[in-house]
This record gives sequence, structure tokens and C-alpha cells, in this order.
Amino acid sequence: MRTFVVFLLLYLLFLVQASVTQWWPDLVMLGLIVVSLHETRITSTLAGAFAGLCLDMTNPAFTGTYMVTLAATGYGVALLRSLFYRARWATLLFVAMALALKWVAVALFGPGLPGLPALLVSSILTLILAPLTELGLTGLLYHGWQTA
Amino acid sequence: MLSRPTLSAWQDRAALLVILLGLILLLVPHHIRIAVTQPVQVALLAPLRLGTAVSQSLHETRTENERLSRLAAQLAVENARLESASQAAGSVPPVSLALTRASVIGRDLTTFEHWLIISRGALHGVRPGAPVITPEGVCGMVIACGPHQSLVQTLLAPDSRVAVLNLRSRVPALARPDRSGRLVLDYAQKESDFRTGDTLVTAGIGTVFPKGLMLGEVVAVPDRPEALFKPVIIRPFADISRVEQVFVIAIPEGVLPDTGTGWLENTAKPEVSIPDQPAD
Repeated sequence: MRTFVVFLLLYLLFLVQASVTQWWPDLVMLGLIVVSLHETRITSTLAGAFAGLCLDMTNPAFTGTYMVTLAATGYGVALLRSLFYRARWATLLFVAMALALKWVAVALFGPGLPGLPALLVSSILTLILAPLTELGLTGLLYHGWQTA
Repeated sequence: MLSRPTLSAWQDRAALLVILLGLILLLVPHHIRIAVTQPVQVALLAPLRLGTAVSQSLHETRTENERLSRLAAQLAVENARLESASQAAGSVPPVSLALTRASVIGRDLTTFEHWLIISRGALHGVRPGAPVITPEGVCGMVIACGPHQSLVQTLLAPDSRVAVLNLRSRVPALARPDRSGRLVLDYAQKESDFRTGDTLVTAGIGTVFPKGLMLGEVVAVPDRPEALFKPVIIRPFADISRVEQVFVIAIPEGVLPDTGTGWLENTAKPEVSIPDQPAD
């Protein structure tokens, strides 16, 4: 049930993100990182692949770029989270690493990087929103539930 | 304290397999990739497309509604004028009325229907004395203008008086508001021909309302033998207590409404005057 809710949540975040401009924070990535902080590695990877596939569908010519990036992000966060047990800055670190991975992948395999202002604004907003998203989603999804 | 992450072999293999699948998808030629992902794309983006379609449809409906509303108001004016004029043998002079659409943004706080503030003012070409209508009928007149807003005195305001004409019997009279949100006719002769269901239009006497605007319907003609004049109760066609959008009939440039200069054929300044009654 919780896995279904996780996928549904990521899909809803995708719908929101796909409706706004590239200046907005990467909500899907934030959601995925928070989910990966609590879920198993396989669930995190599948959730990342699903979210990435959704994002890839907005530009089918580059299908696979986001799928690989977010699947790797989900797997990486789920794998590394125990290294930073309850460290608040760990989420920021994960977000920064995921953003770097995403921009590199988009530049190498995707449609190319957006303009520098949009890239900076989106990245900074993503980082700023990270603690709030973690707080909100953790309370929403994992309050009273056993962490994987 | 750093600790080595525990590894679950099957989870890692499955996860890496998913990533590998993504990489394979990345290496597939474009046309195959697009063909494979087409059904997935349709399914995943369906809510977005539906939302976009609904939003676009709503926007188009609003635009169309506004256009039709404006058209309805223009046709209502023109229809009433032609219907009124068709009783006369003379030809109907061509008239083109410019309408300014405005939203009701304020009302008087006691009755909600005596005074309206509308969202168009002098900067939009609205001037004091301009008739205010809805597609259903006459609403009132502008009595003061700011740059962006105007004050409208409605038909139901205590000081409002409108000269009306019975569309069927051609009997003129003067309409004033009563206290129940309806209009009553003043000075209708007892033998005058007013029946329930008669339609009243503006008579075009005076310099505010052009002749032939739909005003209201006779809903009752009480039998009061003791009354000096025939009591006629009228229900205005425009539901002033609920009106949200109105149209201001623009007064052409160069015409000063407060001087009585005619701006429509039915509101022309009199060229002859009625002689004073000889003193007894």
C-alpha cells in the first residue's frame, strides 16, 4: 500500500512539475530523495525509474535520460543514507549530488542544458525546498510507519 | 560514526538491472524508442492533456460567453428599437451603438440594488448620463465617473424616473421604483390600456435613454376604484440585485449629455418648445 502511495505521489509531483516552467524547483527529484531516505533500495530504484520515465515522456526523443538518472539517484540515496544517520545536512548533500548528476546527464544525453539563469534558479530553489519537502513528505508518508 | 552500508545482494542486482534497462533504452535508436514509448507516453500524459484541454475549453467558453453576451446586449437594444419603431410608419434610421462592458464591483450596503459601482470609468469612455443596460433590459444610468470606475443609479433607486412606453398599446407613462424591488407607473390614466403581460420599453423622452430599450413587464394592474390614476406594477427585466456584468452605451464624442444635446434620434434636443399654458 505504501509503495503504491509512493508511486502515486511521484506521479502527482510529475504532473505538477510538467505543468510549470523550467525555472521551478525539481519537485520530482525532491520527492524521490525523501522517499529513498526511507524505502528499500529496490523500491527507491523502481520509484526513480518510474519518475524518470514520466519525465522522459515529456520529450520522447531523449527517453532514458531521466530514467537512468533518477533510478541511479534513488538507488544511491537508499544505499548511502546509512552513512549519514540522522544528519540533517545529508538531504542537502543528496540533493546537490542528484542535481549535479541530472544536469550532467541532461547535458550529455538529453536535450541540453537550459540557460544558466534558469539552471541556477531551479537548482537553488530545489536546495532551499529540500528541508521543507523532507519534513512534509516524511510526516505525510512515514508518520507512524516503520521505515524500511 | 560511519558504518559500512549493509548489502542485500538481490536488491542490488535488481536495482542495477533497472538502471541497466534505462541505459539500454538510452542507446536504442530514436525512431524505435519513440515507437516503443508512444503508448506509455499517451497513458502517462493523459491527465496533463485532459487538464490542458479542459483549461483551454474553459478559456474558449469564457471568451465565447463574453462575445455572445455583448452581442446579445447589442441585439436586445437593436431589437427593442426596431420593434418599437415598427409600429410607426416612418423608416428606422440606422443607429450603431458602442457598448462598453463593465463588471459590477460595488453596491450600496443597504439595499444592494439602488447604486452600483462598475469597473469602467472616464478613461474607458464612460461619461455621466450614459445608459447602463444588461442583455435583459435597462439597468440604470451613470451619474458620476472616476478615471477607472463609475457610479450607476439603478432603476430601483428612489430618485430614478424613466419614461416608458407600452409596446402593445403605445401608451406612455412614467415609471418609478416602489419599495419592493419593482416599478410602478405614475400618472397612467384610469382608462389607459395596460394589461398584465404587456412589455414596456423606454419612451425616448428626455436625454438619457434612447427609445425602445426593453425595461420590464406588467405583472399586475390592481383594481382600485378610489385611485386617481391606474396602478400598474412592473417587474424590470434586468435582475438588478444579481447583475454582475453590465454594458454602458457610449455617448459619442462631442456630445455633452448634461446639456441635453441629442445623441440619438430619439433623444434629440427639442427644436421647438411647448408653449406655456395660459394663466387662469
